[in-house]
Amino acid sequence: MKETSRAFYVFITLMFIIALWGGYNWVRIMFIDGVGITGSSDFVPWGVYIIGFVFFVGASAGASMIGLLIHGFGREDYKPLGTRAILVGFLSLMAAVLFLMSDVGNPFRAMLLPAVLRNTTSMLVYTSMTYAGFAALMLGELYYAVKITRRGGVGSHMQEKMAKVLAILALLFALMVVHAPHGALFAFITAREMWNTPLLPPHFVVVAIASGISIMILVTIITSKINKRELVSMSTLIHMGKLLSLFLIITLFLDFFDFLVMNYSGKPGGKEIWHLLTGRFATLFIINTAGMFVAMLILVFKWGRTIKGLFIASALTVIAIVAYRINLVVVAQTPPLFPGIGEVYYIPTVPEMAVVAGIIALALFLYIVLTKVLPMEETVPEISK
Amino acid sequence: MKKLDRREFVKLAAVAGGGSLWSPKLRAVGDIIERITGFNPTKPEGALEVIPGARFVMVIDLGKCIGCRRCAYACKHENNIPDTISPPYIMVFETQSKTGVSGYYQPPKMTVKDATLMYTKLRKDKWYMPVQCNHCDDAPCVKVCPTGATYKASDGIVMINYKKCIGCRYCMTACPYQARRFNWWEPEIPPELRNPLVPMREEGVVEKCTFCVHRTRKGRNTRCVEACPNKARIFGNINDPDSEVSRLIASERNFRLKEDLNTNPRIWYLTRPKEKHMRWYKPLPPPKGIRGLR
Repeated sequence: MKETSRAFYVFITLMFIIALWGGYNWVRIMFIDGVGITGSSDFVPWGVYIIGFVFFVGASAGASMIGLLIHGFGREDYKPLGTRAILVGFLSLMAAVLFLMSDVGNPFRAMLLPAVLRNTTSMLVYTSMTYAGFAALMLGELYYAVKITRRGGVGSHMQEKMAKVLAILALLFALMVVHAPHGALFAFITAREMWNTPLLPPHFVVVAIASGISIMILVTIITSKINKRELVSMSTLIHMGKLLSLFLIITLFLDFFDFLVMNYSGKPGGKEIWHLLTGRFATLFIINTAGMFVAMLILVFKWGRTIKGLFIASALTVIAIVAYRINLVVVAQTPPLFPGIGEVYYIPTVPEMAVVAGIIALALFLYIVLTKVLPMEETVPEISK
Repeated sequence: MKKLDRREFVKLAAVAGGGSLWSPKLRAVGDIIERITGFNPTKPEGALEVIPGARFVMVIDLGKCIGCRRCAYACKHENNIPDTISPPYIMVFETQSKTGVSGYYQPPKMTVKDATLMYTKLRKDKWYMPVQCNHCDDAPCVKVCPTGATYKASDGIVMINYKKCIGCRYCMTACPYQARRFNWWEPEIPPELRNPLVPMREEGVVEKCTFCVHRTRKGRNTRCVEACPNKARIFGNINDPDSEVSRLIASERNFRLKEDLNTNPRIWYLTRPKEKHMRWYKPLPPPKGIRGLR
C-alpha cells in the first residue's frame, strides 16, 4: 500500500458525496416524482442519459486499444498503463450501463432484457447482450494483469499467453461487437435524417478509439503529475498522441463527407439538420469540429508534442467528442417530424444532471480506490529495440 | 405460488443463462416467471380475440375535415389518456394554401373557447390534417422494440403489451409519425371517469393509438370515427372488397404519409375537392363529459 495524502481522502469523499447525491436524484426521478422531471419530452425522447451512454461506451475502447498495443504489437513501453487502461475501460462500460439503466422507464424489467425478453430485429437487444461479454473479457484481462504485476512484472508462460489472447479478443470484441452495433442502433432509424447514414457504424468505431486514447493520455499525464514520477516515457506519450491524431483525421474525414452528402443531395431532412447545426446549435458544432481540428493540428506538428501540448490536445478531443455526442443524440431529434409541431427544445434539468454527475463521480471514485487497492505497474521499462 | 421442481429449475436456468433459445421455450419461461412473480412478460395483456380474416384500415377524407378536433378529445376520453400526456394520440395540423402549415397540433389551453370544438363548417382557405398512429405494415417501432412489447397483430393493428415495455423509448425515436407517447408521470384519472374496457397504463411505459381495439375487435367503429361530425373518417376491413374503405381507396385520389420511408401505413388520406361538401352545418353544442375541458 502506498502512502495516502490528505488530498486523496478529500477527493474520494467529495466523489462519494456527489455519487450519493446522484443516487438520491435517481430515486427521486424513478420512484418519488416521476420521469417527467427530466427535460426529455415526447418530441425529444432521448436526452442527456443517452449522450452519456454513447460517450462512455466509446471511452471503454481505450482499454482494448492499450491492451492490443502491449500484447498484440509487443510495445513493452506501454506496460505501466496496462492495468489502468483495463480499469478505465471497465468503469466506462459500467458507467454506460448505468446511464442506460437510468434512461429506461422500467429498469427492473429491463434487466430481463437479453435473456427473457428479446426481439431479434432490435439492435438494442444485441448491444445489451454484448455488455456482459465485454465486461467478462475485461475482468479476465484485469485478473491476469494483477497476477502478472504481483509476480513482479513477468508472469508465467500461461499467464502471459492468457493476457495476450484476452487483449486481442477484447479489442476485436470492442470494435466489431460493441461499437459498430451502437452505430447501427442509430443508423437503422430511417425517421431521423442525421442518424440514417451507413457512415455511422464506422464513425462510432473511430470516435470510440479517439476518445479512449485521449482519456488514456489524460490519465497518464495526471497520474504522473500526482505521483511526481513519470509513468511512461515521453516517447510513449508521443506515440499515443500520434495514434490519436490518426484517428482524429479519420473522424474529420468521415464527418466532412457525411455533411457534404447531406447538403449536396438536398434532401429536406439533411438541409434542416445543417440549418440547425449552423444556427441554433452552432456553438456545439464549432466546438465539435474546430476542437477536433485544432487537437489534430497540435498533435501533427512537432512543436505540439510536449506534455502541455498533449494534455491540451487530449482535453480538446474529449470536449469535442462530448459536443459531437450531444449533436448526434439531441440535435438529430430536434427537427420536428411534422412542420406543424414547431420548434422542439431539450434542456436538461437539475435532477437529470445530478444523476449524470453522480454516475461520473461513482466511476472516478471506484477508479481512484481501485488503483490504490490493486497492485499497479510503476516502473518505466526500457524500450527494447 | 408453487414450488419449482428440479426439471423446471434446470429449464429456467438453461433458458435464462443461454439466451439463445427459440420462442416456444421462451413461453415456457414466461409461464415459470408468472408462477414465481405473478406476471408473465411473454403473454400479451388485455388483447381480445382477433376477428379472423379482418385487416383494419382507416380512410381520412381531407376534403371533409373541419378541424374541430372532436376526434382528439373523444379519443382522450375513450382511451383513458391522462392530462399529463400531451398532445393526445391524434394531432390535427392546420394548413393554408399560401403559408403551408400554420396551426398548432393541439389547442394551447383545454378550454371550450380554444378547443376549436365550435368549428362547424368547412373553411375556404384552411385545410386540416389529422395525424395519429398509422399502424404500418412494416412498422419501424415493431422492428426496433427490444422486448417485443410492440407487435403487429394479424388484423393489422400495431399493439403494445404494457407489461413488457421497459420504457427505453427507442420506438419513439424510430416512429416517423410522432405517434407515440411516453408516460412521463404516473397517469391519474378519477375512477368514475375511467373507461373500464381500456387498461390503465403505468408510469414509464409507451402508449399510442390502438385503433380502439376494445371496440373494433367486437365489430364496432373506433371512437374517433363515431365522434367525427362530418364523417371525414371511415374505418373498415380492407380484405372485404365491398367495404367502404376498399371502394374509396380504389376509386378516389389518395396518398399516405411519408410513403418514401416504406413503412406501408394503414391510413389513407383522400384528396377530394372540398367544394363538394361546402355547406353549413348546424352549430354543435360542446360535447359533455370530456375530461379537462373547462
